[in-house]
Amino acid sequence: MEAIEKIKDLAAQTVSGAKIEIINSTPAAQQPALLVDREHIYAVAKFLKEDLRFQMDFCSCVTGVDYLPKADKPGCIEIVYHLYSVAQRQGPLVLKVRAPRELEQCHVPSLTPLWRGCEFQEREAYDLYGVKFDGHPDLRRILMWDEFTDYPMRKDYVPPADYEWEPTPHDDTLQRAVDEGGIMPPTAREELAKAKKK
Amino acid sequence: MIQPLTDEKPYTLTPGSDGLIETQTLEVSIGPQHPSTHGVFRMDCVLDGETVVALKPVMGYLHRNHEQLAEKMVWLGSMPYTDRLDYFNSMTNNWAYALAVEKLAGIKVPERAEYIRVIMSELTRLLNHTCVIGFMLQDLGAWGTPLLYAFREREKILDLFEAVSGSRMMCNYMRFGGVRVNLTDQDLVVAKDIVSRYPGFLDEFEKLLTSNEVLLARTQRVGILPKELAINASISGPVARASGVEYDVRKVDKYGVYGRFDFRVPVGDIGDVYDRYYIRVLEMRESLKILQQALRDIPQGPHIAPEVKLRNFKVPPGDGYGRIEAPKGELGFYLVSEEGGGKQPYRYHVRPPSFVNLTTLEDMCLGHKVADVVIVLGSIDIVLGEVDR
Amino acid sequence: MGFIGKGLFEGMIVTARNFVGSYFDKERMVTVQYPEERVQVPENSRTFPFLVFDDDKDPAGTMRCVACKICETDCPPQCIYIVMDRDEKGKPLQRPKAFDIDISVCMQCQICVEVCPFDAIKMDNDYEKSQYGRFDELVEHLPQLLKSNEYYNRIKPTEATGVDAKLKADKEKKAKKAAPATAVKPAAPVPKPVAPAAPKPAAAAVPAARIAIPEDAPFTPEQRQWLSGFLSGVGGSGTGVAPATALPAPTGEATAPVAEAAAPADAAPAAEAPAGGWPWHDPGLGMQQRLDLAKDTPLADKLMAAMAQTDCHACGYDCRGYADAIANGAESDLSLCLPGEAETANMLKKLMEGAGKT
Repeated sequence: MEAIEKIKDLAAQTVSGAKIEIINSTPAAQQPALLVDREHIYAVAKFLKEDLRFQMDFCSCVTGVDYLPKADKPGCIEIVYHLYSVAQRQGPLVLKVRAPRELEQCHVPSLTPLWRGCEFQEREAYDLYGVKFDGHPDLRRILMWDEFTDYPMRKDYVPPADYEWEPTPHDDTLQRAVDEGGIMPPTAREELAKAKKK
Repeated sequence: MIQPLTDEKPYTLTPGSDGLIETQTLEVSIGPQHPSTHGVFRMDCVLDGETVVALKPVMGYLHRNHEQLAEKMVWLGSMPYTDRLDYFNSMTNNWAYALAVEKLAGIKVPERAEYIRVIMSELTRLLNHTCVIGFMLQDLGAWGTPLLYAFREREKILDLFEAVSGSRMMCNYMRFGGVRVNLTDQDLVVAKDIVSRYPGFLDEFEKLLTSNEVLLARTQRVGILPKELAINASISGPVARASGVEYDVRKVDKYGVYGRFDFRVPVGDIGDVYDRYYIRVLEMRESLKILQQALRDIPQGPHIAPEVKLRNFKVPPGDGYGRIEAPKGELGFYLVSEEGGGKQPYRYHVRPPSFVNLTTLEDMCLGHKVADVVIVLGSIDIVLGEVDR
Repeated sequence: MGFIGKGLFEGMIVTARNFVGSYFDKERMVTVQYPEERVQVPENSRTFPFLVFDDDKDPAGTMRCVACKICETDCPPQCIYIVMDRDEKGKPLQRPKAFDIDISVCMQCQICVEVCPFDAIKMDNDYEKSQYGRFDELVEHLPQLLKSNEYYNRIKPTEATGVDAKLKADKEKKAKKAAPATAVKPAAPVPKPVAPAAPKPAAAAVPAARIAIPEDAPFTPEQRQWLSGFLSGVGGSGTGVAPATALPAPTGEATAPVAEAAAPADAAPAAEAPAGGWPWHDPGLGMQQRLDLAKDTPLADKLMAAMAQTDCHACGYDCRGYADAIANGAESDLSLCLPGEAETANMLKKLMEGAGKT
């Protein structure tokens, strides 16, 4: 595969206005990444997929990473795409795109129209990090249950104190029974009787 | 192929057309408690009679938050948890994680350890493929016969795993830089014995199944996955190869010492359930070839890189993606190590093959009967530990 | 030539062969009538951990565990709970008062066994552990966990023989070291209480393997290096990992004459004690006693006196090595001494602040 600088130049030439940076990894891993801004990530990805020099037709992995704000850097949620080429046996080519951590602004364009394999993995990133993918055909929670609020994999997620409790369909029936003095464990019934007597 | 006996007119979908019965679609939830969904997995099907009109997979019933647990533990502490991802094949999960960390930290693995890893991984592929075929036939209605023949062979391999690593399924055997304990000569003798008996078992298994008319009638032309869709939907492993995608991570990346072995990659043409079954049989034969070569050529030497610390192990900062060809597809780990080199991962992500292979479940099942949904699911070969992590 | 149903017919032959064969062939009849018959588990099979003691007549006294808490820290599901035994004055007695393993949480990963520097915890292969309750009944306490070395030899003969040989070699080496002055190697530098300013070169300081590999042995350089590390681990304090390159000579540390001998991180044998020994290097002494014995010594010695003196390698070094590493700035984490707990961490902090480097 071509050197990462060459790929960056070709992409920047083809997609006008794109702001692309190279982010290096450990020297041993040899997997530098292209950080593209949100507005142009779709065009850059399309170029990489369709151009005959690359033919990146296989999107292997979509990951969300949460970076908390630090003194010198604003926080962001980064979505990392690992692309491979089946036709040309090349890869991996790493694309990164960043979104701010605040929920109203946390959205990036979805690459599912280009690669169908991103569908479930982008849903997972939405479910666990709260990143909305614009253009995703079916964006809803996948691993957590549908009524869950909050985004568990964020670094500032605080699990509720009752994390052992799981909601069931019978919860409000049971609550009603308890309120009307019906189903109750013996100790609780005694407590209630004592409290009523007071 | 057997032709149906009568030529029936199908019901139309528009209710109230004159002379025909008014129909409605029925929404059925297959699972999560179901003997054939390979775990706690739910499919919301919309049926017209018995034909599937829409299907949505629903997962997350086994979500154990593995990725967040790994952020709180040291690098080595997640290794036993990777056993429990694809709980059927623990050795390959361990190898994928060890490979990703070794890539990130630049650790070189000694040769004997590489050969041991290949042997364990190919034995895992053998036991996975037999049992997948066994389970698929169980779903088809062969009540346990092929399944228990497959399990009989699996027991021999599991006994070898117990003698080597201490545990049958949750092996926790690979470490960063090699394997935990060395293989003794006795273990090699047992492995050679297993490998020499396996072709006989495979021949018998094939005789039972491959030209069986019931199997042919129920699995041919069912659940066809076209080649372009397979590539676009990131399908990997035997499912993709059955559709004609000639892509095997062992041949492309040549991780470990796979570059030294002479084996072929079987590729199917139609991509129906029968192809996915037969590809697995062929892959088992190729795995036996690799095993024979590895057991013949394994050198003496250390089983782990001596400079890797067991405790207080730090990885330099950066991120990396390491992948292997697990029996179910491409299993990858994306790891991020924070600034200053951390003792714990900053981000730990598993790219599970079963999760991504489920993307096209709906496309494969449309137009088929409900009974075929179960077979298609069985041929994709999912394990919920991996899908939900 | 295939009649209709040929595949089915062939399949039936296979099934019949398996069925009839199961009456004659052990290969085809694989059922074991448990519990009347049992499968012989292989030697390496592991289920839950247990603690080893050496002498049947005094289990609590000869148990190998020193309550260093490394297994507790490294256990992935955190199923171990240890409380160190202390005497009336609060001095730690280097053995556990309470050692609980919750076997409903334990995932049998064997990491506690791998990291224990004293071979005190090993894996059992007993799988019949059902109890009549789900909670307290599944927590194993110290009396249940203590099993004899004889039992260990019985269930895992190869492994136990290796461990016994290693412990014996360790004891002999310690006995040799206890005899003062004779054990000192001329090449190893000696940390003197009065300060010579020049640090000794690092190369001479790394103790070679106790068992020397002959020059004409047919090993490649990599094999030789690995082998020497392995042997020094077997002869040394037991991590079995080859010494990494020794720490570079410290620059500009005028106050502390540091001996590099002590400190290749995770290196195997402890550094040589000087002719008088290190009088505070006794885990039976209390913190104040140790500091008094190290009263007029340089900073590195005082730091060493503040530690728990078990040489357990919980911090990644032995006690001397850790002290030297803190003194010359190679190690900035002061809380790594697990058996010392907060007492050591606070004292180290106080000493470092007193010396002017926080």
